[in-house]
Amino acid sequence: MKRSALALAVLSVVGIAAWAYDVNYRTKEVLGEIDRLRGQISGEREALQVLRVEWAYLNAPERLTRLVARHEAALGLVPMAPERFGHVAEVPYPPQAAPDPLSVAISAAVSAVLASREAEREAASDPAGRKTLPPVRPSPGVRND
Amino acid sequence: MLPLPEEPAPAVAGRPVAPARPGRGQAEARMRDDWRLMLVIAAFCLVYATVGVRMGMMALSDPEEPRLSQGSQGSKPVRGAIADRNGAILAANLPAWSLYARPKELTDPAGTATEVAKILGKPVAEVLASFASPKKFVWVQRPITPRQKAAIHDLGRPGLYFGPRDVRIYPAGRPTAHLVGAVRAAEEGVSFARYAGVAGVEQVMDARLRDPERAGEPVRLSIDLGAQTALREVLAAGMRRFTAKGAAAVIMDVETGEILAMVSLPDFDPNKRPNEIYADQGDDPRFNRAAQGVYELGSTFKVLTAAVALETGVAAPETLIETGEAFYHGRRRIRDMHKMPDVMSLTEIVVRSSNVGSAKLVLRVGTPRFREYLKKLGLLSKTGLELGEARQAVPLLPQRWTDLSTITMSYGHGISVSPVHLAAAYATLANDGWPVSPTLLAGAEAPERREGDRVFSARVSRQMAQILRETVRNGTGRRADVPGYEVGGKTGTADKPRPRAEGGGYYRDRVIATFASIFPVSAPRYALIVSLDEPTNREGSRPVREASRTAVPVAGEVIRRVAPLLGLRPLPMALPPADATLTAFADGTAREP
Repeated sequence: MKRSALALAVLSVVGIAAWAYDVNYRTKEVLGEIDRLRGQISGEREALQVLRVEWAYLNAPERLTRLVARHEAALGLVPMAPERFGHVAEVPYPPQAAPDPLSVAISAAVSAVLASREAEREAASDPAGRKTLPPVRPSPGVRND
Repeated sequence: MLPLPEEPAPAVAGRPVAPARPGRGQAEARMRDDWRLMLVIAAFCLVYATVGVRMGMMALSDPEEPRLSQGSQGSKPVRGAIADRNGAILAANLPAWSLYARPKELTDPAGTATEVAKILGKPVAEVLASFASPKKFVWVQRPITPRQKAAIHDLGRPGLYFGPRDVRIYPAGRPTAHLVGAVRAAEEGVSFARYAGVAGVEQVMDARLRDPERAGEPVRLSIDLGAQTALREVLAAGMRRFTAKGAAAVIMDVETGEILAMVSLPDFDPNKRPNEIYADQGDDPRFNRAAQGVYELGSTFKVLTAAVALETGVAAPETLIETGEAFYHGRRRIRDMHKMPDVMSLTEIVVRSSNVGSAKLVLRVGTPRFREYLKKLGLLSKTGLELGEARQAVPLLPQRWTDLSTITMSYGHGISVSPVHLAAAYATLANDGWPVSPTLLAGAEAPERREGDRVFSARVSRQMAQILRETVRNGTGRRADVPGYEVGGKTGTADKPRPRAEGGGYYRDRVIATFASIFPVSAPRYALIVSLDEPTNREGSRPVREASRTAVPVAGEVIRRVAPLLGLRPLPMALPPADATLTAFADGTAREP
């Protein structure tokens, strides 16, 4: 009884020692990983900072002005002036399109034909018995909203 | 302890080896035991104290992430960035490197010096001299560019080392030179440099910029970089056109006091800040004319005089004042440069800029009340502007403030203030009379409005805005009348004081021409001050120096260029009537009326 307890104790000591050893090394490994990641993060931060400053430098209005002046011919940019602001009242109505001569001729011909038919029909039928057309209603299935 | 009556006092010199007596031996043993006990107690106390102190230290110390410092490149102390109101960076740290050497480790100082000097573009002798130093460690160059670093690295010479070191960069360059200020290394080691601000925003916001907790978030200024650059461009063009010695301009939000653009010319590249010493401060490009310099700003003060007269009720805009003749106050003759009508209304006094009229108005107000109003407008003390230099802008006032001082001040002489002071005063006038304190930090809230702080009533504010508008429409400010922006303003042409060494008094041919304005008058948004130092307009038949021909056209151009950039739309009243526009378009003619 006493011996087995001793053996158990020794075994557990060995087991716990092995576990502690393992944990220790895993911890060291993770710490190494943390170091590496921290290094990487600070490297990335630094790169970001460099890029931010570069962005600011490249977009400095003074530099852009110089570039615009240099590429004046290609870009044709001018400083923003009050006249660049528009007002609704300034927007012209779309100009009336010049009528197409062909369609004018066709519509004239059509109306002439219709007018002559109307005259014929009027002459043929009784003027008092003229039918009135029913009002146009939207079909029930169609929503107009 | 038992008393030991028979114990003699111990001999001082030479302890007698007394034969052991029974009582004495017991007592000695007892003493020894006591002493041992005390020793053990002391040892335990020490151990517990150590443990206690250690525990206390652990409990009190800030939690620290393990392994924070290892593996990170770059210098540790980071200084926060400065950005404009839209987030464009105006100042930031850029990781770079410095080059240092350990002279003892150099195998071939002469050869190394030659090669290094070639890469750095420095004289060989200088590098060699530093290598000959008996010190263990010498700086060779800081900072160096990545290219230089690579080249030196490729030399493969022993004894040369690189240390990470941030450099402070001002990417926006010249336009922001006077705002951002400068830093210098307060502390530096092999692997870091800690900077301290010595000028501008860097100086005033130093603690905030250094705060590691907030290093990630930039200090946002109220400046709009686009407007700032445009303002500088226009002002520089104006300065060249009128061959002025210097120029300054301030654009301020009349409600919050935020400065949207502030330029002082001549300027410099903040990345290569000059450090020459100038005999005359006015010649120093580092001198900030807008916030640091104080000048007599002349007739622009007549507006404030008129406003005070209206507010105190001693006059109304239509009140007539005799202005035809010069008058004497004591022995001093108060007169106008040009012949003025015999009688003018308060409005006309401002529009036509009559010294006599202003003087008579201010005499009605009286010195104590006038002084009180100038104080409320912030013209008697420093501005709270967040610039190291602004602290130097203490208004120059007469030592003894007499009625005569009040009279000369009513037309802007005998009181020197900075353009920022004047901008704040005009902003206060435009802001329905609520006081405005200038600031360079974004997001300033309009201060809480307590009736007791109010300087002018809304009625006076409106009346003065109309008078300023009238000055631009029909008076000296005509050349700044930008259509659609309803500019209102007042010119001021002040003779420059002659230094005492040259005889004192005033120069006859050197002026400071100023135009102080607010726009748009119907709902003021911005106050603009433009000031030119010694301008001359030679475009006409004879040279002219008056502000109406120098500062005013420049201010007009500033408003044309900058107001659209600030998103201010011209008022539709500038547009032609609707049918006129339509006919114009039907004809296919030009857009502009």
